[in-house]
Amino acid sequence: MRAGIYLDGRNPEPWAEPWPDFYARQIELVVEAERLGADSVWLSEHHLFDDGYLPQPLVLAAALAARTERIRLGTAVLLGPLWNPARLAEELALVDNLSRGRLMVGLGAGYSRPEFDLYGADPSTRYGQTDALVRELRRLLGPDGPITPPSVQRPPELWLGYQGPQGARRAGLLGAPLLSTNPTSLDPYRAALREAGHGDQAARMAGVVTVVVADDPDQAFERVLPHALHQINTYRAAAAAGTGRTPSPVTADKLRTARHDHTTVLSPLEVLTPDQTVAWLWTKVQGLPVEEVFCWASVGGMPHDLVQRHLELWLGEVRPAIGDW
Amino acid sequence: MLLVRFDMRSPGASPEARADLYRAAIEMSAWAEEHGAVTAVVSEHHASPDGYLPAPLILASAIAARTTSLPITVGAVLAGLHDPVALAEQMVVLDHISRGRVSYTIGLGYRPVEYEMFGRDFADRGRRMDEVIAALQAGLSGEPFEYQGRPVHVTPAPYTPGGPMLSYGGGSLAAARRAGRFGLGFLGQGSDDPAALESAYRMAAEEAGHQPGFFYVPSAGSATAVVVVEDVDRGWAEHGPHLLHDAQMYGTWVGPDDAAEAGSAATTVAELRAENGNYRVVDPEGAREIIADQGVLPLFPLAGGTPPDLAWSSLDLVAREVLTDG
Repeated sequence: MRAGIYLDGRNPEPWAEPWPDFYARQIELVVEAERLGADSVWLSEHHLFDDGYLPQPLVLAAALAARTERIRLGTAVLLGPLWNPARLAEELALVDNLSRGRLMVGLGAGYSRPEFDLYGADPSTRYGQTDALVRELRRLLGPDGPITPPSVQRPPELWLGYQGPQGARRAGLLGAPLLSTNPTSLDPYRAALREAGHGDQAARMAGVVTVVVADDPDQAFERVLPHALHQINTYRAAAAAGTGRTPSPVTADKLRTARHDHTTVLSPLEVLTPDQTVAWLWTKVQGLPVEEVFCWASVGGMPHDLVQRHLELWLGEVRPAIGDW
Repeated sequence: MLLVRFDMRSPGASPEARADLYRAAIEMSAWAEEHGAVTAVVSEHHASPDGYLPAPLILASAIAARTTSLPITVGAVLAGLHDPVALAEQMVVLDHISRGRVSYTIGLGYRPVEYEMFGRDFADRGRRMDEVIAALQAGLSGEPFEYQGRPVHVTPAPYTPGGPMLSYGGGSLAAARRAGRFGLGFLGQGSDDPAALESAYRMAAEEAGHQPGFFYVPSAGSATAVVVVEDVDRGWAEHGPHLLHDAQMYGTWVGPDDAAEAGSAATTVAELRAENGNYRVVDPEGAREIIADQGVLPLFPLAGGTPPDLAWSSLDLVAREVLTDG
């Protein structure tokens, strides 16, 4: 199993570092991650966040392509309904050329109403639009595709970031690898793969794991906690915005309790030693066709010393231990 | 004084050769920075069989990541083909990555096929351009605003207070007026009557209450794509076909009646050489003369898919015999 890192461009108050330094540091962090052995860096897309959340991941991907040699560059995810297919295909082709074929494309359907309004996109058909985008990108960037210049990979690998069983079924019908490690997705995913004639063996999964690796997890947990609360609660607010629902904020105590509760499928935050991380990952991926996991390089603008140590331990100790899974 | 320009045309290139050209463009930009270039220019066109760069901000970002002080110009960015919200967001991210080094010359574009590709109405392109420029200016301010009745806020705020510099480029009176109306600088294409453009520009700016910005129209026959070689005859033999490809492609796009706008009407390398116009192959002495005449040496090292090794031998010569001896 491969191990990567995940960047989101968040630089939240009250911990914000000066913006003039922020992106330079993001690029340095990826250069350092490559040096430490990371297999991949994945970039996320969101709009309208007060913390500056990366709105255009492919611009950053191009900068990373120019500063790295080996690491694969992924998106997790691009918000499909917000993109013009031809424009997206051109930009993907460029990044694939700049990186000499290191691009992986994760697409999702999006969930935040204000983002759809920002682009004048229709949220009611977002899954159908995203499925159609996969087919269109396969055509545009495929061996006979019309996009100029063509991508190096024809097409680049297209992943679907669909989280629930319905989405897993859609990914299966498309024969696409699934950017989710949700175990309840596996059966519908495989069933749909079979139904569409791709076969069980086509099942491939990858996804984010919400872990911070630390030498002293208890101490680090309390330091990461306010950053994790910012991350989780701003996602919840974005999901609820424009729906009439009131977001239910997660509290510090809830996160503290959830930490030791391994009955929940998706734990919102784990802070673990390298050994604990390896054991925890095994419980998450055993029996699943997961070939790659990645974790936030920084959760919600957490302190630099924690980021640095987290990456050293994740890439230096955890990655080698899970490499032959 | 020099500048480098890249449009990434690469007719018939294999995937490996094309990736090599992209790598070379980035390395040549770093070379240009070392040698004090005023800027690296990247440009946008779509659906060109020779692979013309369709996403100039993406290449600009890669160049920005490998340089620290080089100004980068995206010119032209065909803003009317973009969603202005997405374009403003990309400009802001690039503004951060480059630390404020990227500026833009907006162009309308003139190829209907490009408008078709993005489902935009070619006939309506002027009106839409007005809408797009207004939205870009509002988006780059970092403040919330409305676009087509939708609430828009471009985040994060730009690195450059007020956003990166935008100017407007074109060859028509309408273009000059549009630049003036929006308070943008104007970069003219070769024109028979630059004075008419300038007065249209100034009048529109004043009517809209803007201080006129920079106004520049290069003279029609000036060198815009220069290759420096030891031996000019041999240089035309080696580089000429690549320069001719570039000239002929632009010629196809603007049509036979607009040879002046295309910059050349040549159909052979010999004709291109005889024009002694935008496209030049010169020795170091000739390069110094261009610098003396025009103030800047506009290098186009990878023109028409020029192989990187051949392009590097020209750049090495520039470093050795043009920039050191002046």
